[in-house]
Amino acid sequence: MAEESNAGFEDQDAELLRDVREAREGDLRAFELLMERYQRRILADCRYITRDENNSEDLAQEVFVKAFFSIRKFEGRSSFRHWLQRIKVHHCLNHLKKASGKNELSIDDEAPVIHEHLQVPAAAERNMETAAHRQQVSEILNSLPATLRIPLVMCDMDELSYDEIAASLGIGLSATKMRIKRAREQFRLLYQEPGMRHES
Amino acid sequence: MNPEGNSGDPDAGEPIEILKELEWETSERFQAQVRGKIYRRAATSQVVTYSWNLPKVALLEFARLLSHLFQSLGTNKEPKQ
Repeated sequence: MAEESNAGFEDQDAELLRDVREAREGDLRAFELLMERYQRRILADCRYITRDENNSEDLAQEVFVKAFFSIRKFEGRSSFRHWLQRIKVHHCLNHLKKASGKNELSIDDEAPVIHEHLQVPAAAERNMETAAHRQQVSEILNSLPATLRIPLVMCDMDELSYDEIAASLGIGLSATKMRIKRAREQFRLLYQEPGMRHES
Repeated sequence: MNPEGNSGDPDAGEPIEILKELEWETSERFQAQVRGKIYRRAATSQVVTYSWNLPKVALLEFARLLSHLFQSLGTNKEPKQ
C-alpha cells in the first residue's frame, strides 16, 4: 500500500514536471506547485544537516533555484524526490565546507551531549503533528555530533543509499554504515524512557 | 530506489521511522523569494549573454551600415552628360 501511494506521488510529480518543461518562459506556476510538495521537507533537511537556523531558509530556497535551472537535465532515472534530495545534500555540504573555511568537509568527532530534558516521556502523546514533539525530535537531532547527525539525516530522512552517502561525505562504505548505526543508537537512547537509559 | 536503504534494515524501525516524516514550516514569503531569485538569475543570464554577443552584433551592424552607405554613394552618382 505504501508502494502504491509512492507510485501515485511520483506520478503526480511526473505530471507537474511535464507542466514545468512545457510552461512558457517566466511562468512558474507549475514549478511552484512542485515546490509546495517538498519545501517543508527540504527546509527540515537543511536545518538538520547544517544546524544553521539563520541560513536554512536561504539554503532551501537555493536548492529550488538550482533544481529549476537544472530541470531539463533531469532524465527521470530516479524519482524527482531523490534527485531533489541529492541537490540539497550537495548544496548543504558545500555550505558547511565554506562555513568551515576549508576545501574538504571536516565533521568533527565530538562526543554526543545527552540531555535528560530531551528524552520523550513514555506517557507523552507521540503524535508527529504536535509542535512540542517535533521540537523535541529536532533537539535530539541537533544534539548529535555532525559525524553522526549528517549521515543519519541523509540515510533516514533523505533515504539515500549507503554508497551515495559515502561518496558525498568522502568516507568509506564501512565507516558510513558504522556511523549510521551509531547515530540510530544515539537517537534511540535519547528517545527512550528515562528509566531505561543506558550510560555509554 | 534505495537498495541499501533502511527497508528491511534491522537498525531501522521505530523511532527512526519518525525521521522520514520530519518537516519544518516555511515562512510565508518562501515561494515569493524563490520566484524572485529565479527571475533575477534568468535576467542576469540574459544580460551576460547579450553583453558577450554585443561586440559581434555591433560590428555586424556597422559593416551593414558601411555597405549600405557605399551602395547609396554608387547609385547616387549622376551619369556624365
